[in-house]
Amino acid sequence: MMFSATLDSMAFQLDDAQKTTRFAITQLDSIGLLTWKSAAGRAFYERVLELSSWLEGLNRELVEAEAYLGAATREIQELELQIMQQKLAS
Amino acid sequence: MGYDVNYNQFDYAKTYEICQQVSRELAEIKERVLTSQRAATQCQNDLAVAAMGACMAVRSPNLDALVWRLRAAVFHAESSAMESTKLSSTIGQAGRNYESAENRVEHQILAETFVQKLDDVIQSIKNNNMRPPTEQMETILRLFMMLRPDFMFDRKMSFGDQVEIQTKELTALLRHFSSRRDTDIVITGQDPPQEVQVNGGPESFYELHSMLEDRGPEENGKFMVVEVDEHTYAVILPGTQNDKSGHDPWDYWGNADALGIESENYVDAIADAIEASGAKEGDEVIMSGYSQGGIHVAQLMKNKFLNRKYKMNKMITLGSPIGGIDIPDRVRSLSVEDDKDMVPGTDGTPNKNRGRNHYTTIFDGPREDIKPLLNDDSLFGAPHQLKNYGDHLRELGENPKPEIREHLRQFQLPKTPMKIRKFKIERVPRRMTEKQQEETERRLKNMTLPH
Repeated sequence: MMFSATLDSMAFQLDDAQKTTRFAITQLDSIGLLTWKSAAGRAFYERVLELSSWLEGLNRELVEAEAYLGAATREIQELELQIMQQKLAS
Repeated sequence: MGYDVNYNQFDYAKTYEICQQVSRELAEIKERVLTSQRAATQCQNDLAVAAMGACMAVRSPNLDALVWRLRAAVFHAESSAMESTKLSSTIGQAGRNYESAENRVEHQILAETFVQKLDDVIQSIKNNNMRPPTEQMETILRLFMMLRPDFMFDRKMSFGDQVEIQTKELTALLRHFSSRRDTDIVITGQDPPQEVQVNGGPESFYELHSMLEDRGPEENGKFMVVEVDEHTYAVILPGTQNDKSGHDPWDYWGNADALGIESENYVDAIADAIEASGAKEGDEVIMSGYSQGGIHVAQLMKNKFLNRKYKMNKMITLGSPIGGIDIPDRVRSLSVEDDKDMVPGTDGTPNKNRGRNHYTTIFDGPREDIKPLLNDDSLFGAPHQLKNYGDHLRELGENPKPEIREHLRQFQLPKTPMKIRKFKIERVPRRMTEKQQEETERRLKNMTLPH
């Protein structure tokens, strides 16, 4: 497999990015445990929640990217096999 | 200020820290996703090249879809990082705005009640054996700050910061004209190690401090390192000593060193003493200081050299003005004050207690049964005496409030014998470096003799 090292490294990078995203979401959620009584404080917290939802979106994208990476890995394996067979045939 | 507001400096500081941390994490995520995106593009190109070698044209549609997905993720991470940076800047500014508003209100109130405050100060001095209690000492300094022309219109700054600036300017001026500025503080003697036993509670620190205080001129200049266990050491720093020789680092000038240059000139001697007592790198060092010693303790807890070498996580101060010193959050601190003692008020501001592990315990004057044992004719009066602070530590150990019980447990010492070592330090004229000596010799050679 020519591309396995590259694909494995991509999988590692994406896994790490996902873990960091989930950790960032937990950190933003902990802001909700603090005191936000005034209107301005609540408005600020609303923005924090919005940012947290953006990060949820980012996390979903990373999960989907991981799924595409899995599919691409299988696809590349097949293509590599075809290339090899073609080379042997010629 | 005595009114309820929606502001909690810990929460604001925590939120600021979280938002900054999230920004850094998002930058890291973006970097990782970008690396993956580049690798995916490269992979597609390499695949095409390999296929060309076999006279084929191939492309992985899933890899293309992955590249597009990753591009979207990079954009998402980037915009989220920008929003997080904006949020941290917003909350940081809100904290600063609040502090500035609070300072303005405090200045306004003091300006409007100037005469009444002055009257209160005079009355309280009269009732406290002609010495201002802590709070009134702070008020006196605040009133002085109100009169300083350049501070008069700068009401955004807190009184504590103003007093700190004033103190630094004053000490810089004093240093400029003092012969002590060209001296180094070095260890000049060490007593043979002794074994001591203490009762283990907070009062133990009084027992250790009393081995340094009022022991006569021979004992001046000494401080103590206690070997608590194999990996824990306690450094005990004394209060101001009435020595006029100019050699004693704990003389009145020591206060100027502590407040003006953050006790930097004491670091080497104290680090040498800790090392000579057997401490290894990474061992825990508990610092305890009475009066002037407490100011040094608070400054040394921030010292980078000591922090690199040892675990500097615990400190105790007894009757020390440390309100202007920013003690790091990681430090567990216990400050004991007596509200009839003027000395803790000479910083012009109450202790900040910013960290969640910073505690200041204020007692309401000396207890009746200790009063006969105190000397009211001493310079700062009975409330400032070490014996009084020893009694307060005893009271603290006998009847600790529930919220401070766990905190006090962290300062317990073993009841088994501990080894103590006393070190004598002195100010000695600073020796010139080789380069300075060469420079001086060169100048002398080139000097023309007068006709």
